[in-house]
Amino acid sequence: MSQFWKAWQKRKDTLQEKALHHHTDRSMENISDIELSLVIDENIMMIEKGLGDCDDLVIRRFRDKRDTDCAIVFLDGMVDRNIISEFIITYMTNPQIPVDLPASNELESTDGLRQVIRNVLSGTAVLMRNGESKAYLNNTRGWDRRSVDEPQTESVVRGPRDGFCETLCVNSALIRFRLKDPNLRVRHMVIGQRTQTDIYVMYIEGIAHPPMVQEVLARMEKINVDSILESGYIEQLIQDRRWSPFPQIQNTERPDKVVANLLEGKVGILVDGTPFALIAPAVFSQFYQSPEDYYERFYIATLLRFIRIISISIALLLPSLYIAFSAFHPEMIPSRLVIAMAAGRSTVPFPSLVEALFMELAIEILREASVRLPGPIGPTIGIVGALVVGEAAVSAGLVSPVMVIIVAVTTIGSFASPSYSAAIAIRMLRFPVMLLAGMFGLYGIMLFLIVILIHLSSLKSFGVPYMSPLSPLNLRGMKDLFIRAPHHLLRTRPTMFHVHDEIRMREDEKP
Amino acid sequence: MENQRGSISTWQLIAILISSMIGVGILTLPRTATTQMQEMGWLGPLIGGLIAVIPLMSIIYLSKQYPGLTFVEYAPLIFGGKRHQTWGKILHFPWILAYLLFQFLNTGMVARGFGEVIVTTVLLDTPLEVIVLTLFMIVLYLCMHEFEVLVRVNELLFPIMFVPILIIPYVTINSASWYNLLPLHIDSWKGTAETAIGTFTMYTGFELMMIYFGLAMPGARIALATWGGLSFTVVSYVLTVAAGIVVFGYEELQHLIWPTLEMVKTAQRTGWFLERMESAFLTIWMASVFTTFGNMYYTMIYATRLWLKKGIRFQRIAALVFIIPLFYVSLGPQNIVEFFAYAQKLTYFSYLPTVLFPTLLAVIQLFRARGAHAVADDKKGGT
Repeated sequence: MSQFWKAWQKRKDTLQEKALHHHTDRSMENISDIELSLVIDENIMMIEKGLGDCDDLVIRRFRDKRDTDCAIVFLDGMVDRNIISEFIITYMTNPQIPVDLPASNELESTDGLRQVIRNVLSGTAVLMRNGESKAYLNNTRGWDRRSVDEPQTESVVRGPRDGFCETLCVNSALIRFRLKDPNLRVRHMVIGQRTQTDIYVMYIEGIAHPPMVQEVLARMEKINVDSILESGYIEQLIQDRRWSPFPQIQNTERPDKVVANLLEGKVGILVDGTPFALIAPAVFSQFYQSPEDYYERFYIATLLRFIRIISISIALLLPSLYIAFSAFHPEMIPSRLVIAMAAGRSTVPFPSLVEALFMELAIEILREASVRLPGPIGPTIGIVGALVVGEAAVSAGLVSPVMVIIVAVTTIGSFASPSYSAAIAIRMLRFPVMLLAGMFGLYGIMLFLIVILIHLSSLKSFGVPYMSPLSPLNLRGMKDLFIRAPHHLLRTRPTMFHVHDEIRMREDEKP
Repeated sequence: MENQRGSISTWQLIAILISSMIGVGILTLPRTATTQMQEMGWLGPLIGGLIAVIPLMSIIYLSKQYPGLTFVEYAPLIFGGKRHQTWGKILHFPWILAYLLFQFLNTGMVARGFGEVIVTTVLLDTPLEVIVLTLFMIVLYLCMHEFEVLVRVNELLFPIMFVPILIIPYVTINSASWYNLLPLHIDSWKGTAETAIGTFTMYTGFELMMIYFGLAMPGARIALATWGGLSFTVVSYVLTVAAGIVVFGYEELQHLIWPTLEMVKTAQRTGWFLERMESAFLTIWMASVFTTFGNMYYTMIYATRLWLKKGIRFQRIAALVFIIPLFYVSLGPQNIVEFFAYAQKLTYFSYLPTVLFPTLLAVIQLFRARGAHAVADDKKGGT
């Protein structure tokens, strides 16, 4: 009998052994969920094997008040060591304290190995006691994090200065802090088989359209990728049209922008490890609208929107207009200017298309290089660029002076868009327009614009047409499209996102 | 596909109707309207518009009788009635074929017409074939999408339709001599009728509404869209012809191939930074031409798709396949004179699918409805 028992035990052990080693080439989902045993040493061994005997795994053994063997398992650097020594070990060992459990703010227990390993990996200190087939998970997460800082990509003159950082809980707190609405819903998700990235999906119940929220959640659940290193992964995996150059989900570093969009009935997605939050659905107006528009008086906000629209058009079209005018339609340029341009171009040996492509390429190289350069030598590139692209190229007779102005204005224009990812779409589309302008002049530019227009009309972001409220026309939405109507006229939310509670301001009493 | 039907709003219907009607024809209109009517040429498009009223009334009537259905679906019902469905299918066949053929040929002609303008005025060294090919390529790209994309493109390009109403009077006002409009007197009624019949071709495009009214939102105000769109078009045409007469006088107009373009060329003080406007005008006008022949070709493909009850894949392949013969059609006329002759013949053909077809359907439907009423009344009397 005992032999049979031994054989049974042995078989159990080998199966367990197999199960433990099985996962090493796979990810978390495939770790076999073995139940913890009553013997603490066995559990520790299982965790060690599960993590492949990693050297940053700290196992602290001690005896508690009742003289039971205990152990704390955590990963070095991911935990706050003070909490462990003061509130776990002290509480457990000091006989003057009459409690059995550690004093941590979050305390859960589990009896599955998978849960234990997942928690160890995310910075939890796992406490185990001999004779108990379960483990206590203490929230001791505390690694060095960047503090809340001013957003780098979306600065405003007037408006809050705080931006998201890389830690999810801080980011969600930044939103909660602004939006003390009990209807704010936060749904937690873990995506990425290997990175196990925590993600919060946020929306306001009663404003956001439930089918749309469901759609966002369903698409996110479908993601089956090994890593989510930045919110861009999610953006590109859940967007409607994957081959489009236009961003169909907005990203932002600003909590106030997320809150404003949540209040318009959109869904916010926060991803652990990146300061960029996502906002879905997105429409074309993201290209030129900034949160600052709502903070300043509406006249200046409207003017700024028009300026941004003009600068986006310049960034897209100015070089190609130059090519079209100088190569195909010189009769359209006023005579004095055309003489000046011809004088400038007299030494240039290339056709205007080559000239423009050359200059645009040079400026793109400069821009890319200045992003990569380390801070202290950053200004160097400006000086070199100004000298090479500006002065030297003209005096060497490679490009005409007008071309330098055009390239400069184009570059500055592309920076005026408040959204970086929208601006780079425009930056990229500049090159095909230039080629078409070089082939067909103004006619080529129009061809391209029509194609873009067809494409934009076909785009949808989570069921919302990309060009709305312009098409399909929605007069109520027009109040906040090109112009930013004063707040007392924006009493209802834009309807294109199918909001449920439409009223923003119930009655408006003049002061 | 089915869930997208019933999504076109009244405003979008107006945009489609106007964009489909106003197109490349406006460039030649001041000449064609004044050939016979001389200084009273501006009356031509007005009477031509009146011709379009009858088929438009029929189309509205039919769409109200069969809400949510397009003509490829209701035509067999009307021809055959409930009892003779096979006859309905046989009888409606040649009419729909004529309709599709007209859209097909008209697409080719519009593309050719605009290609001629481009190569004779702006891109002098570019072969006509290349221009026509590029035009067809963007139409092909449009045909790869569902109809709601076409609707939105029309809606977004709609502001361009205001160019003839706003820009043309503005640029011509400086060189206007108002006496060219006098005397107000019609020489021959025969000439007037011929001009009206000839300028009616400017209004073709309204027959596309036989499809789009069927896809309109329930509750969309079809009649408002129709009459609003028609009056807008009539006003822009009359204004354009009047501007042509005012600037050039009818004698000179006869010698200009594209009088509207010449009118824009006369504009001296275009103001701020452009010396001459015609290239810019043509470029902007290209969008309007695109909506005209894009709508026609798309509707032809889409109607075929609905007729044969196929999906988007059929539409894409059909669009690609039909582009090839279309290329031959549009490059068929050897020169511009031959092209105008072809276009004239197409105008006569256009009466068949655009006027006769909807009117005939409406008349049959009228009788059927009366009959049904009579039967219903009888039953009432019986009980």
